[in-house]
Amino acid sequence: MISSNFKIFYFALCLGVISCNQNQSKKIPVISSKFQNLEVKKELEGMDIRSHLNKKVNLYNFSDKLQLINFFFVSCPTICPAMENELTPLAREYKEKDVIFLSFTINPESDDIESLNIHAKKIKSGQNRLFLRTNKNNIEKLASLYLAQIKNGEDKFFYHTSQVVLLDKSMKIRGLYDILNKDEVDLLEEDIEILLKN
Amino acid sequence: MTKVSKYKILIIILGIIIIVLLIFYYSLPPVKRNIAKQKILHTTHLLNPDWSKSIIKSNDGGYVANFTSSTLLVDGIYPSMLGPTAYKTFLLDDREDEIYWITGLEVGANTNQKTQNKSSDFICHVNLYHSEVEHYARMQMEDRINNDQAPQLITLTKGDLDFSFPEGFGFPIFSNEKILLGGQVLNLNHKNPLFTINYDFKIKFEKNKEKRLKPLYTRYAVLALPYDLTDEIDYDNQITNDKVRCVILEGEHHGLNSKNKQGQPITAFWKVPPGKHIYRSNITSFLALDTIVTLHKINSHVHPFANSLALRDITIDSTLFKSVVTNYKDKIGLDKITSFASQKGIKLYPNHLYELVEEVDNTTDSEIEMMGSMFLYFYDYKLDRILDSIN
Repeated sequence: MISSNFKIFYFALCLGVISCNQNQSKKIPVISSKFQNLEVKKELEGMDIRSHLNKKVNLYNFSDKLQLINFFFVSCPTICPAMENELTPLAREYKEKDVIFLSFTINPESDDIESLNIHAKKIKSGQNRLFLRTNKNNIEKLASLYLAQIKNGEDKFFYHTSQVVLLDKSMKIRGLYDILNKDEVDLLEEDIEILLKN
Repeated sequence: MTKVSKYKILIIILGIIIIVLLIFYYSLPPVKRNIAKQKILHTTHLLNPDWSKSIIKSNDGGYVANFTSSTLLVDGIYPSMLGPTAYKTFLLDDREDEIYWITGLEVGANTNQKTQNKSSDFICHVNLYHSEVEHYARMQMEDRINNDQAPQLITLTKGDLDFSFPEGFGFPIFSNEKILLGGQVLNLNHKNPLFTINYDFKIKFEKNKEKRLKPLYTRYAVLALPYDLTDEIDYDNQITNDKVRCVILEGEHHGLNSKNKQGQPITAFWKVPPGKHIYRSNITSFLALDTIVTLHKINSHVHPFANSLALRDITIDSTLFKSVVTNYKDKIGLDKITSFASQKGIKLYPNHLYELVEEVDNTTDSEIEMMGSMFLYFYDYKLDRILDSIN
């Protein structure tokens, strides 16, 4: 009996070591380090970005956390609700960990602070979730830094994709994921777990 | 209420739910119906939903990443673009953060059907995509983000399922960059089928630290024709007809989201009446050449009943490459499409005009659907310089 228990324990230990090694051996790429540029930092710290709680937000204040970024707008009828179906449970899963979810509205004219606050309450977002608003020029600048597409070619109308952006604790972009693709959500969760351990 | 009455009510409710679900299912367009069906079959594990991946070193010193797709059900006639699909996101090797050179892609199919059809007859197309934004950001070429005309690196269709760049050339991606691989089922001939299919993909690659290749970039050129919005074409009046009938998909014209210089809506999928026809369109804007470039690889895509697809230099009135198509004689389908691969390459000039010319022979007595496109691979001198600086 002791022998068989020991075998099970040893087998489980081996499995744990193997899975741990698999994660540790994964090399998550650095896709962009632009947020570390001092000029970019100065510009972003000067931006008037406000949360749904009407507090001024300095993105660099979250540099002790992993950041997951997406673009949206409150009245979006198609892609946003589908994205939210993935983001809300993900934010709940990581609410006790050092991961913050930042969602920028691309429609600041319609999405005032009150609308964002109502939206946050509607989806029952936790403390690790902030809905952010700034002016359109700033949004364009931020989208470019986050490698996000929010304009349709030369056209002027704003839209967004289902991409989410993962930043590590030194504000480097470590991954771009299509939140509506299950394979990519699995990769995102794997990468968050690895980066949390680093 | 007795136990028997409770069961009766339960059975009636279940029956209503099943009827509502069936009505909803059959009201879906064929593509969405296939997606729903495969999802159910995979979720219930009635068909294998999993993909497998392995990497081996090949005898020529390169590497081969072997992928086997999930299993799909073939239970109907599936014209082009309407069959079930299997796609999966992968990283070639997430334990490395190195540049790999993709040098080729090969695909085969496995079926349990018992007819004379080859398994490969059931491949509509296979696509290998890279993550455009991630790729160009990491390659320090952000100006190329969202400028690709087609996100596919490589597309294979029936008739040419073994693709290789010329020796010494490749497309560089990072080992831990996301790639999307998959294919779609085609069934043009097998009536009342009921069998399963899965695909074997082989991505051939070299490691940059072992072998430095020359980079290529892709341009996608499609034969695009103006179409008649009313669908009222008089095929007998060939002299005045300068438009085609557009393929209708899910009740709408399957046109391109752009117009030609005359402001007419254009389509890359059109209907061909019985008989022999020649279609041509200017593709100079698709090439977007800003300097003299060298073309090293051409991969052509057509539908059955096409006889050839040629890339022509209008300015010097010369055919640069003609892809010759062999159709099956005893059934509908493409047996072979020739492709172009050259280390020396062909020079293309920014001040020249280029066109695609497609010859079609519709031997049936009704309309068929046609398309013609080429993936063109040019030497990427800009990326070559960047790669020198990265290394």
